[in-house]
Amino acid sequence: MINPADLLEPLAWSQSTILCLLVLLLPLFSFIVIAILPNTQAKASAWVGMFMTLIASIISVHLLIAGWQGAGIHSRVEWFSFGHLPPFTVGVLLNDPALLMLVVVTVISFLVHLFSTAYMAGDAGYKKYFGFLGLFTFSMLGIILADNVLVIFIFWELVGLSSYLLISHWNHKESAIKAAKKAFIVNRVGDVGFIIGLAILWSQFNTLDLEALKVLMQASTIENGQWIAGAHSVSLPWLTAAGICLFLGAMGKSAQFPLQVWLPDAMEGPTPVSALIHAATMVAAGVYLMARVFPLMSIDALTFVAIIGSVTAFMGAIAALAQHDIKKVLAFSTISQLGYMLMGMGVGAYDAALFHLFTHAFFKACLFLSAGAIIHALHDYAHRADIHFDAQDMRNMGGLRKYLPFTFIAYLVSTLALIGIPFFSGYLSKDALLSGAYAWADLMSERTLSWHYLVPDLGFITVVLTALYMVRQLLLVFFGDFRIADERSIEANIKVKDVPWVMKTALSILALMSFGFIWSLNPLNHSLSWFLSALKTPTILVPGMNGNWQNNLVELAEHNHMQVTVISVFMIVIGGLVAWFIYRPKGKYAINYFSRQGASNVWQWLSFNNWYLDEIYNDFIIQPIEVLSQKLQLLDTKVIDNFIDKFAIFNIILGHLTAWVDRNIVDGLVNFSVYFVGRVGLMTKSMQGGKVQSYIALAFVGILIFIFWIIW
Amino acid sequence: MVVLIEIPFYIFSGLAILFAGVILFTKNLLYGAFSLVGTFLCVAAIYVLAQAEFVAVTQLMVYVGGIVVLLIFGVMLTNKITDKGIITSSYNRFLGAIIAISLFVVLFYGILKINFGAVKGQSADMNNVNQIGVELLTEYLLPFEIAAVVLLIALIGSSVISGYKTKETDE
Amino acid sequence: MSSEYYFILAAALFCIGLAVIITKKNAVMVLMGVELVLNAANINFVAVNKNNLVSLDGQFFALFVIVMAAAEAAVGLAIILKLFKYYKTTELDKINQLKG
Repeated sequence: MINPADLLEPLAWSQSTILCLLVLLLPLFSFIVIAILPNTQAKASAWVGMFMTLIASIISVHLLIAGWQGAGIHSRVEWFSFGHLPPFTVGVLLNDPALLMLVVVTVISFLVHLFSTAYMAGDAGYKKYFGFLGLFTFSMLGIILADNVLVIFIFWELVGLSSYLLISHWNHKESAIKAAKKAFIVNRVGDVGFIIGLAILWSQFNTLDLEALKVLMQASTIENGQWIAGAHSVSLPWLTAAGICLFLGAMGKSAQFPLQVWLPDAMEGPTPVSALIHAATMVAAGVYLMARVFPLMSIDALTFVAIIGSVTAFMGAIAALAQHDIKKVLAFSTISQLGYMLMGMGVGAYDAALFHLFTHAFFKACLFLSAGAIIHALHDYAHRADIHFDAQDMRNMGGLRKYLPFTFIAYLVSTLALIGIPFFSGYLSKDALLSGAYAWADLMSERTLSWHYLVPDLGFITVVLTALYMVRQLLLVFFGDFRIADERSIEANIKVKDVPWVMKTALSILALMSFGFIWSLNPLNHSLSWFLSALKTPTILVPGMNGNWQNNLVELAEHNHMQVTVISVFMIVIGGLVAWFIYRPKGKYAINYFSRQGASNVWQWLSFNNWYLDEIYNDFIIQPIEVLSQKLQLLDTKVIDNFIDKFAIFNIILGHLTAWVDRNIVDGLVNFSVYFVGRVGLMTKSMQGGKVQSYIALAFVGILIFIFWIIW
Repeated sequence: MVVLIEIPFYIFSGLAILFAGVILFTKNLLYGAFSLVGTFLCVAAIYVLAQAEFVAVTQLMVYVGGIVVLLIFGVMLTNKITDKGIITSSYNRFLGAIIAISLFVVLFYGILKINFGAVKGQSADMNNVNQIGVELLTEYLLPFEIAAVVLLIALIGSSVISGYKTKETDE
Repeated sequence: MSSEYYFILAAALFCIGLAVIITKKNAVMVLMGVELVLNAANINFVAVNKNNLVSLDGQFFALFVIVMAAAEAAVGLAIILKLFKYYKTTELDKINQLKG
């Protein structure tokens, strides 16, 4: 038996972990500095934020280069302890995924800061915006570095808070406030699961330290359907329940079915925020959490993750098909891609899922920032042409490649990466994911026809759909005619202006990261990627695990890699061609697109309204609760208030009664005793009248009594 | 003989109690003083009946001739003489009555309980006055002398108390 | 003639004297009451002595009591005069400086 206290000895701080803390604290410092800056110094806040994140990025890159493929560095101190339980520790756990995430978050945060200086110029909440960006970056880095699941949870909530603050940045807009509330509340649903998961782990192991949990999990055993860890034992389903509950947290943050509804609405926030939070970092936190607790997940819990992931990937892709808002398309695409990642986690393709997380972070951030650039340019255009139109609506766009060539190139590159065209980063990671999923289905179904194949099949269908909606968006935004100018017949000499150089800088760096050769020397084969070869899948330590399961998975994935590549490229080609056919410039769809309202048939409506999830929630959860609350309010006002009123009246009557008793009986007693004592005093006083004769008389009374006593 | 002694006894004792009652119930000081004289006379008669002739004579001389005059002087000195008479009132009547009556009842009961008939009487052959004179100068010489000193001291004391003093010593 | 009658007379005079002492307001009257009480005592002494006239002790007691009574009356009247000089009254209920 292992004593948990031995596993929780404080570990010394090294140079790397101290630098980590510096990286963690710099954005917080930026937040504090910006908060205390006077309002007149709004410009300076951007420079503070940029400077801090730039230093943080440089340190992170340094740490990555220094610590890459080294043994994980773990430093911790004792926080507090109580009772006989092992001490509660807090510290930094730095391994390869954490280092990579550190670089991704700080670099993208820096680029978003850079981009925002141009995008947010002249905004009233300029200072507030950069302050909250700092707070968000701090919280996100906290999730990445923490070695303790509870500390992760704390930062997790901080991320939720700062996300809320950033989504509601334009808090004069009703929709923005609603979207922020929605994001916050939906995330709470997942967090309830998260905290239940923490409770299960705590009650079983009495610690939440990740490294200690791994050791204890390995030491725990299964006997007669009981999951035994040291002195604690619970029935076996709790093992799976713990994994699923932790996944519930990830479900909320990473917008997985059925909690994905908040992400499209969160596009109400400023576009750079969407790029930072809803593409690269916060939504990836769920995937990262799964990576952190991967060794603690049982096969059943992983299967659940895989199913949810694949379903979300498919649903998100479908929902992206019929959107008109440029950011909504990207939001649904993000949901879909996050579904991929979690599917990867679920099928045991840990490395592939993380790989996709990193590639996706860059190309999706690039897409969002490009969308931001387009919106920025169109706003500027609307201002100069003195017309009002929705700058995010694709129906108003078209043919923008002529005006925004640089943005077009960045957009094209990252779109190709997202679709998964060979030579781009998305190809490598998606291929790895699909191979893993396919291998998992083979392994789980033991090569018989089984529902397990639905998981990779949904993945393949999603590949088609991804190609379809991304090519559609590309065609509708950058090709054809500039629809708003044609329809409103604006003079030709007013043109869309190109975006400022700071935006281009940010876009170019992100677009560069979307090329395949950055990630792999052989851009056609993901297994030769430096990334995947470096990243080792941690062994699942759950008791009762077949040790060969993961090895078989890797073998099968390598075996079927060629098939998967061929199939997926084929799928992409199909999707691309279909998209070109439907949405080509001068096509029927493109010509009528400007006046298109919503969608035209049931399937498109289904897609346009994101599977009517909002309506379903509204009808089946919100409405019944509202009715229930109204009923309860009625009960409250009618019955309980009435009862309390009556009770109060009763009390008043009782009070009057007691007052009467008090005044007449209690006071009467007191008054009587006072009166009595007073009379006695008066009587005795009269004896002390100073009259000698009275004294004599009383003396004789005494003598009389004496004589009586003697005679009788 | 027995009857001859008893009748004046009843008469004088009744008169004595009557005069005493007048003292008790009168409001006029002078009436009180004169009733006191009456009482003393009756008591002197009782002394004679009790074969204490010398005491009776002393009673007449000292009380009726001295003390009562002294008392009347006191009355005169402390009251303005008007034609309304020297009136005083009384108080504590209820308490006084209760105490006096109950004390009398107790004494009466106690006296009745004692059987005085058992005490044997003895007669003296000697003259009473003669006998007193002899005994006073033999057996009771010391008390006699001390009584004289006491009287002298009382005389001095009373004159000192009531006498006028100079302004310096009088508070 | 038995002694009881003397004693009863003495008791009656004593009680009347006592009542005078207690109830009368005037100080001179109180002195009169005191004389009555002393007379009652004297009657007792004389009545007791009546049964045994050989020793005459009771009569001597009565004589000394009369002497003391004279002294007492003199001193008492002196005090009353002093009181009258001080309080301008001889009403005892007005002289209540002992009042608590």
